[in-house]
Amino acid sequence: MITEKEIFENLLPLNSDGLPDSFVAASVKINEKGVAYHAGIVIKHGGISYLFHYTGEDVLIEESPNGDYYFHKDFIFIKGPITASFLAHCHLIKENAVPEYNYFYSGSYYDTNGRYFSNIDMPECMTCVGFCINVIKGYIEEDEYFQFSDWTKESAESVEFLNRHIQRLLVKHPTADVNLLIDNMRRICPDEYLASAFLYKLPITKTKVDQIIENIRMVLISKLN
Amino acid sequence: MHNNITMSENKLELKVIKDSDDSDIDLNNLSLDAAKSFLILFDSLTKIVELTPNNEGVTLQIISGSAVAVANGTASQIESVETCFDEIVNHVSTDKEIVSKWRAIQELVCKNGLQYEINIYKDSEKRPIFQTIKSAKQFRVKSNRIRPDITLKFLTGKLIEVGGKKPNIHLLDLDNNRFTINCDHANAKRANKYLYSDINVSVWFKNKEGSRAKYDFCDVYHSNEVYNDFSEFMIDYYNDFDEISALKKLHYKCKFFIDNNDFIHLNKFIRLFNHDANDLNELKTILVITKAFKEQEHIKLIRERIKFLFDQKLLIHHLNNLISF
Repeated sequence: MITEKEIFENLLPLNSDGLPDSFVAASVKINEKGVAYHAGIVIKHGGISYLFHYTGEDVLIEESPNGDYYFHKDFIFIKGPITASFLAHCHLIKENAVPEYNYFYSGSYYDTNGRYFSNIDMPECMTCVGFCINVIKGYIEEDEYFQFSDWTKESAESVEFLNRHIQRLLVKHPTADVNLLIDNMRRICPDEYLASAFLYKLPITKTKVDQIIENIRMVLISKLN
Repeated sequence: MHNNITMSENKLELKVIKDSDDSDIDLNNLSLDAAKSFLILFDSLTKIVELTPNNEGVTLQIISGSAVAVANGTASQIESVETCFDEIVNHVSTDKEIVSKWRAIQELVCKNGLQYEINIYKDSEKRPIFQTIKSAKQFRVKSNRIRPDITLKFLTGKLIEVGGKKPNIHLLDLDNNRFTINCDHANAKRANKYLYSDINVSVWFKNKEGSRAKYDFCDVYHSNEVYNDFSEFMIDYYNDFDEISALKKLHYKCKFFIDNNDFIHLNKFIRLFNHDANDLNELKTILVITKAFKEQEHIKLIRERIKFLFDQKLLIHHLNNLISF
């Protein structure tokens, strides 16, 4: 199992020198306490880094982004000279996003009814983590990325993160049913999403994430310095 | 008679002229925005000079009045800078680092509300380039999309012979060129039905220097419409030197068939990519767009073949990495 030292060595700041020329990585932004509060995907292709993320307002592809407080780990299960196709995947999602709604992307270009994602008019509400998870899920061949059923409503660590996001959504959709929002939310924290990049086998289960999450949290705090 | 000895001016000049509230820029009294903008201009200018070869003796200047950053050099040094700039504007530059410096300038002048002027002076002749920068597509390095030495070709002609111990079919095109196309037994038998008829086929064409051209059968098209459609798509696709743009075209083409519920033609389209000549990104793009239709009867099998090809190529890539390590 991966050690704290290995995590520390592989969790790198966004604009590190000496990074490989191409990769796809999970990325989180940490706050002043060293806690991850935002999630994104970093793609390095042709020597240029791109940060792909959902800000709660917009889906952005940022080229050579400002890397302050961002750390990333390349996905073990997305390797090889395929960054062009991943970047194209991101561009296609961004291009076809429905901007006036809270952004959604169901994790596949086509839903179970064969409708292309930008044609679906009842979007599910999504967090920045949920967005990243769906982008990855749509790209990989496996049917599942995170084993969602492992994460229940009672996941205590996530409450603060969830509440913050619900507040933001209610500003945009004041009449939304809060219970429905909570039900539909992916209750996975940014640091749990980051943990998945250290794991080999899919689907990602809560058991496997729990084995390494404390070390990951400690490493993130230590990276503040 | 005038006897002025005027020094020939050769320089690249970047100016911040007005602030976002339309007030004049004064180097002794810059707003925060103006200062940040000027810094970016001066930093980019310095780095551009640094990255330009034969830059000994180039000097940099900051001039007040507006806020002006200047790089002064000889005519040939500024010519160098200008040539490089034109390459970047025409998207043919492959120099990552210098492109990113010019892109930083482009991003700055396009986004904030300040007014700028950017000029190149060669032998004292002023060439303004601000509008060029502002209206150009985002500066990026030319994508090195290398075509493999095996490409798809579309042929129309009369089928004049089928058979051989190693099966092949012979086609005579409209210019009386004869093509020998290798295929398997099943396809040779299918082709036999069309003996002495006109057919439309796609083939993989290997053109190695010094050896005879080799053609491998891909598919046959009963409909001229489909044949022309695929043929036109592939021309456009091959000619797109931007890798990302090409992959998006591939996605949208597949999407078109899916949205029309036309999985039969999607099958035929995907067959065009069922060859080792296609790179991992192309194969993956097809797998991703068709993921929701893994079990669809018309594409299930061809998709599995594409997946097999993808997995195999990826494995070989990883093995090669291990060996070279």
